[in-house]
Amino acid sequence: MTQAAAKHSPLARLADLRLIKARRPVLDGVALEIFAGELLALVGPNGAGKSSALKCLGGIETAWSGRIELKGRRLTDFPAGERARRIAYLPQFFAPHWELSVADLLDIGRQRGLNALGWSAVRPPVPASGDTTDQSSGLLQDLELTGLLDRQFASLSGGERARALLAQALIARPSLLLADEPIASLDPAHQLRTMQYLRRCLTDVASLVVLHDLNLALRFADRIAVMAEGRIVVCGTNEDILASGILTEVFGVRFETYPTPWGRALLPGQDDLG
Amino acid sequence: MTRILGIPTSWLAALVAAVLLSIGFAMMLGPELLGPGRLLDLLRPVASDHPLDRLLFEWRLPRVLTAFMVGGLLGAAGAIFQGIFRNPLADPFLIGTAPGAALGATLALLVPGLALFQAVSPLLLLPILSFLGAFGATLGVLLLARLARVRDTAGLLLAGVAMAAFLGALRSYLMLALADETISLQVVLSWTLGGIQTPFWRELGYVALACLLLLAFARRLAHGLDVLGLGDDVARNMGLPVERFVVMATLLASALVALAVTWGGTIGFVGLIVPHLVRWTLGPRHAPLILTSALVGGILLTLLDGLARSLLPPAEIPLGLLTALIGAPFFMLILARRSRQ
Repeated sequence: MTQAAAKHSPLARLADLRLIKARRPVLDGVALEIFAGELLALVGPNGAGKSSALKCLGGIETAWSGRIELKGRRLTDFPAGERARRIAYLPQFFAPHWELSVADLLDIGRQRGLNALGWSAVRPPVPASGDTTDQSSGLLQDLELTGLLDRQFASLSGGERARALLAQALIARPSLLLADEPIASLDPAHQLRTMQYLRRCLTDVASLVVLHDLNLALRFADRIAVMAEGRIVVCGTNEDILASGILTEVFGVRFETYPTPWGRALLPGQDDLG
Repeated sequence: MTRILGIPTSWLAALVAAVLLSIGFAMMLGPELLGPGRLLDLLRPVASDHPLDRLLFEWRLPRVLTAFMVGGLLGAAGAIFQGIFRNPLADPFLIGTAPGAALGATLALLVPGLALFQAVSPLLLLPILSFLGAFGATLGVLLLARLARVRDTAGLLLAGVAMAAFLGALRSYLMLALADETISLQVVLSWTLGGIQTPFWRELGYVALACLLLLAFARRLAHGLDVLGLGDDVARNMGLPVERFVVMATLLASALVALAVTWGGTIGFVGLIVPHLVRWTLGPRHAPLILTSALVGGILLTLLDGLARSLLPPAEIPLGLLTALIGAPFFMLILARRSRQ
């Protein structure tokens, strides 16, 4: 998929992206290309600027400089509503202030992309009849949410919440999904399942996913971008990343690799300092 | 389940019936209690110059309808403010909006030059100054909280409580300093304690029109308030310009409160209780919440105003006193429920 995708122009492109917060450069010239349909994992040590990069791309941070393009067009040229319909963002922590049901969440997500005043007058274009329901019922089946629609979001288990949020972000059919550690608070089984769900839903959606678990990144991502100190240090296929030895340099720890049925896995070995 | 304006049809039908019943019931209440038969007599299309008929038509009915509208405005404003503050404890009275409006009203009534103008154009000056007071106070709370880097909604509410206390004190001082024999302190006091004014029919028409317009705008905020409730980051990603939206929603909710304060003084707790009751039954989505809160608020205040007129004849009990008697225990109940969760 990667090579086929690489022939086309990128869906999104970041060039020389800079962001300064509290007089500290959080992003220091990020350059990255995301291609249609790929799952691009963003890894790196804490404080590398992964979340900030996502927030710039998702329209949440606005004080950045540099260049962000979506389909060859500057992101700042998009009206907020149009940008919102194309790029969906899953936060690391999500707690709605009201006791919403899963159906409520999906309904709000379906109307993503408001006009500038936040009024509901302008709605996303309604697809031909039947299309929305088919699409969303397919999504709900893929995510096994059909039985949970009437449940309160707050009453769901961690894995169910992750799926509900994923559906909320994807239901309006964005072309790019930004997910900030979508599996951080899940147990290993649910981490694995959520990554499988993610993979299953993303057939025609590109995604940039911040992951802390390098092995899940290696297993599920098409490509991996390694970030450190506000820059993308290396971006490439899993083999490229493993061969480069960059992970040891960035994380400050030596990794042992082990063969597994789905490719190579990493285990942190010796500390460089010790 | 079919819905009209986002409200399940059966609920809407029940609410409309309750509105009519409460208005009919409130028409029977007053220093002179009436039976339902006497009330029905009035509906006959025979012109009557009977003094009681004129009293009912020119005094009681406008008063009852005004109470309904003031309650509706407060209920809807409460729902919007709770959405803006993202806290179910926000109430126009607690967060400084209503005290701000009352300060504006006090200025309109007591400052000599303004009072003169007030005599010329009573329909305009009072609501305008009320609105400026309401909007200034609420925006002040939001800005102060931002300056003080208050991030949680509970802190925001406390900033509102401080603002309310400050404005209340300022208004008391102005009342003492500015009132003289020519200007009745009684009038100003009625704003403090809350009490429904009785407008002429023509004025009532203007107020009703303003209510409908404001509610139509309020309905348009619903989706933005839903999105705001998902948190700032998600709201921004979903295309909501958070700061601008909050200012706009505050502007509109302040206008609702200003109109309510102009005709009913500072009546606390309606904006707190009503959206709560509605949320318990209809859920937290703002489109049905705002409209239903307006209807339920109207019903509640219509009934309470009826009681205020009839419990201690010939005296009237200040309406704000009744709402506080009911509202304060309810507030405690909400707190208890929340801490249990």
